[in-house]
Amino acid sequence: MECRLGSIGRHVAELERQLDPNTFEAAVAAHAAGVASASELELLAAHPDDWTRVLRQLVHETDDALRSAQRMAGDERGQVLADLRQERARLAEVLLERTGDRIDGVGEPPVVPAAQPERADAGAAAADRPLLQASWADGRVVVWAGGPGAPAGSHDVVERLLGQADAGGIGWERHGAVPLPSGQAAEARSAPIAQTLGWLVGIGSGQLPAEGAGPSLHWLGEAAVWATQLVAEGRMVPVLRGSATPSGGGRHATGRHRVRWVPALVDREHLVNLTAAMPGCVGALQATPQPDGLLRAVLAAVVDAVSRAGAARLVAPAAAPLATTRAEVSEAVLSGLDGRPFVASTDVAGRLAEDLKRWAAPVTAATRIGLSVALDPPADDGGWLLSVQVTGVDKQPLPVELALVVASGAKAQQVEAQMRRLERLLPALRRPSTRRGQVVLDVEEATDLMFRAGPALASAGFDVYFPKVSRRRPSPQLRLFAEAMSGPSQVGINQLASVRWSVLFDDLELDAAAVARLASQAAPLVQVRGRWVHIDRANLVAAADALAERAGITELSGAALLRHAVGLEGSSLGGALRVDGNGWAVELLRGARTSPPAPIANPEGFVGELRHYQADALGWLAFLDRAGLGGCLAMDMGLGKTPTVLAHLRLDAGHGPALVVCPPAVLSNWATEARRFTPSLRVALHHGPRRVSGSDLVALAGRSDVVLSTYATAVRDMDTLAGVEWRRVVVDEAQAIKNPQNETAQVLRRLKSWSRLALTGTPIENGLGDLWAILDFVNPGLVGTRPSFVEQLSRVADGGGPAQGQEGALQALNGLLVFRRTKSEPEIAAELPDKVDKIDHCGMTPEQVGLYQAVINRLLDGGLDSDVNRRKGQVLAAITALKQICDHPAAYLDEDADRPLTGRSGKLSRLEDILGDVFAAGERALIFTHFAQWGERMSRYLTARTGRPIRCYHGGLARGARDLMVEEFQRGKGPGALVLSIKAGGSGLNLTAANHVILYDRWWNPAVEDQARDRAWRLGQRNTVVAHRLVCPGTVDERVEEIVAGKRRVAGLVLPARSSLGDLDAEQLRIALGLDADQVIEDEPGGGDDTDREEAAA
Amino acid sequence: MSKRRRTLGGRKAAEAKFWGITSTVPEGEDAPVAAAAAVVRPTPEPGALVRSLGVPPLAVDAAVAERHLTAVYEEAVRAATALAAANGMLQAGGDDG
Repeated sequence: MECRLGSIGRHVAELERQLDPNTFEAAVAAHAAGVASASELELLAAHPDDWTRVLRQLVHETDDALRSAQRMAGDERGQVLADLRQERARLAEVLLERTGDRIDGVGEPPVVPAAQPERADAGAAAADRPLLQASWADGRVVVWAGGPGAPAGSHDVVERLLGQADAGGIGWERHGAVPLPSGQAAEARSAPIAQTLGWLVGIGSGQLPAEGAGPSLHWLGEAAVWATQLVAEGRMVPVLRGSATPSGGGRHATGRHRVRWVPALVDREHLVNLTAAMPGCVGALQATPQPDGLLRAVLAAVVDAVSRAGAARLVAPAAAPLATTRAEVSEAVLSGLDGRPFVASTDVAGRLAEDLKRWAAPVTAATRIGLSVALDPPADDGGWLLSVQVTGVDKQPLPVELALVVASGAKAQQVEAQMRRLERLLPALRRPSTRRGQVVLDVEEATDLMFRAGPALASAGFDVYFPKVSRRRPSPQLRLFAEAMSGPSQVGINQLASVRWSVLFDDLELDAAAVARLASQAAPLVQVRGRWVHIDRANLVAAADALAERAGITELSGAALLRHAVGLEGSSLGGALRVDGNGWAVELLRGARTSPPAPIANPEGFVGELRHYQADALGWLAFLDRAGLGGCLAMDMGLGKTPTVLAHLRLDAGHGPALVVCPPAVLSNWATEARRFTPSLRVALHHGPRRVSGSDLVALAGRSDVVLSTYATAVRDMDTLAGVEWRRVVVDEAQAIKNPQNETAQVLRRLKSWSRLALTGTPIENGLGDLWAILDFVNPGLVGTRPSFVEQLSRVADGGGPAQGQEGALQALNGLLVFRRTKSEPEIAAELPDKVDKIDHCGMTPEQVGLYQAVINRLLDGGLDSDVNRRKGQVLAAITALKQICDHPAAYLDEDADRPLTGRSGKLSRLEDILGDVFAAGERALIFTHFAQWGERMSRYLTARTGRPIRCYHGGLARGARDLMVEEFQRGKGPGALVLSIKAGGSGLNLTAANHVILYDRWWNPAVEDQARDRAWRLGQRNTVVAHRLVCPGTVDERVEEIVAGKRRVAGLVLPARSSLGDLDAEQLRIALGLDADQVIEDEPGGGDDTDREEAAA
Repeated sequence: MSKRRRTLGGRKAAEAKFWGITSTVPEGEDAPVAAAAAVVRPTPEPGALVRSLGVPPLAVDAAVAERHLTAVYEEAVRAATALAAANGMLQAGGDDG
């Protein structure tokens, strides 16, 4: 570009030296036309006198040209006159502006009307208020106010009406008055068409306010819309016009020329209709109004303005300043497609203009001749017959050969011209044929014609009658049709079915032979639902490969069929396999996918109300039972898996006992929720040192609907538990069995059960292998081998569907083997409460139990102070120590900071579980503790364990550091956590980036805990806030609130009225603060992998 | 009919034609095409018409001429399409044809 600008600069300098008259004249004309370049403006500014002189000269030359054009005949007359008048007006305007001189001439609009009807008769039955009207004059839209029976509007009225019509912003100029039939003259304003185009099209399309607009304005709007349609359809051609009398004489005469765009393939009927609809006042400023010519002039002006605007967006090739040879004029034409005038040899340009006119004549000449192209679907020989018919020669369309015989000389030439146009776009028509205009195409040519060349033919003005096509390229879908083989023993996942494989392209089913046949075609074309469809060759090849891979698979078991259906056996075509036919697996899939199980909203025996997704889950659980399948209920944490399963167990009660195996932390929760939601269920707890064993355990199971136990207990008592015929085994927090090699997972497989169910909010923690372990537990053998499962589901997960990654994998199985719902689903989010408060029961390790008991013993056996206040202090100190021990022995002991923390606290284990779920969901958590030092240690530990920076906010930090910590946490995205001392961070902070609040230990006052929770649950929070309160059952954790609140009943002990801590005797304190062995949950250490992980991190 | 009445009737008709209040639609027929066709369907082949005319009679390299002309047609169609879109007249082509 720089190079080009430099070149222009040098060029201008050269012109300056020479002041070439043609170049200078071109610059004057370009300025008047509003298209002068910077160099041309410089040139004009440097020679003001010459500029004025040439302006005068050009105005006179244009007047001469106008006089001679008025003697013209033919269609172009109106348009040429309009061009010249427009140019004359522009030149005169610049002259007036520069000198104040006005030159009257033939270009002036008539002032005196041709006819002056009597006013008394005017508009007797019409409106009495002036409307905004529009007339056409020399390429300008002239607006004025008037109407039948209304007085002619003044400039003010016009101004007001223009404002109402959204046209106030156009640069309207005063214009000569418009003569009215009443003899009055309406004051007017005008603007060039290019400036008014958008507004006119808006009026014509009805997009702009039409109130106050008269019929003449509407008509001009309609004409502008039509012209816009013509350009949008590419129906215009460039022609060359000389716009002034030449200077010089003979062969050396030169003159200004410019390219004009004129409409092509103008619909005659439309032209006649719109001409007939033209209000006379549109031509009120024409000396001899001719509606047909005026409409053509308007169309041409709009087509020219829009086309030039388009051309102006391109950088035009450079042209010579004075074009004297045909090559130079040709270059000037190409570079002047934006309407820029250029100076050229009149003789050469005239000849080129004639040639261009002849070149464009087939689309600009008024002719009724038209061609229609028809393509007939293939006959028996596979050929597609293409035939051309001619319209406009006879009443009926005629074949080309006949039309050429019937048509007169001129019409025959027109038919020939149109055929040549058609043949250029459709060279196949030039092939030797027995009849002109008829040719047989092969499938490749027919495909090309229908899908590519057809639109081009229509754009070029030919009528096209092709078979219907679909431009969408269908993707292939593998289909499996199964028919169950008879045999009473062959039911469920072992039922055998004979299968057939095919591929679907939308509704079109193709077997391997049909795919191969199509793939061998040059252009694979098939008919689907009456439309021709072009099938992508790559898709055909993929379909052929997929069918070839399965050619040998003619029988499948129910399990294998299910694996195929969910993509676990792979599909080179991507997407889901469609399964039809009959048999167990087909019915199962139909039940899961086509007509999902009905939700069960009000299950019998359930006290409470299920949310809609819980009702859906209950319906799915019933479906699993009907199908004889196990499944994984994978609803997000907090969505209510426990009550949903309890509802299901209640519905199924009476068919045998269910065993629920869960971590100790949620054991109490199961019992509590069972009492609350399904009180009629007989629920037994099998846990702790006092649990029954052997035949007593079998008997317990026999008289219970549900037996609750923990993983460690179940493993220990497996010999007995494995002897019970369980109706159902439920494993809660099923991540516990994600490692199929660990003892828990192995031993639990010994349980005999009619059905198995796994519950987890995070079925994929570390990878798809986790999911395989869970599904293989609930449906042994069904999902194939682990490597195959992981490989195939990884493809599904990465398949680019709407749910990618692990959620994508879960979605592939959703509704069948997995029921997945997340809090991020809008309909679930809408139903969720703003906050959920949860109590998480945590176990105690032997170390914690020992320390706890030691503190109690020291307090009570060491002698309580006789002074009530001092005794109260002793008790409070002991409570603090007990709370620390519940948190972690390390929080109480003055121990080496390097001593490992893992496996020593049930609370810490539970915290890690919760954080695992929170992080898996990509969410953030706040962890509040009473003890700042412990908080710091815990944050370091969690950082090492999770690999994520987890810091501790406490009062020992400087204000700036604390602010920065909050800011960073709020700014963070994705999984994260912050530990806070409840004293320093429990109030005042805004931490809405978190939607989980974990209250690690209990504060004296529950209101303080609520305040801490409210750091996240506040304005700006968009998610449901879940508050987890960690409590060690059977310890001071459960009683601190009661004790502090002065409740009379604490741990089953009825206290005297108005008693306080200082009033209690040793035995009472032992009951109030001591361990309740029946309630304490014995913590069960996790698998060895956990310990390994901490050591590795440390 | 008197001469006076004929003159009055003729003047009224002329005036109505001037203001455009005379219906040009024959009774019982559809409205003019323009009123019903304020829909713009941009051509997918802007250069088709000019290609059908063959090589333009310009003394320049034919390929250069065709390339530049086609580019100008594309831009012009784009400008008209923008105008149509701004006035709610645009109708995109469907999948089927």
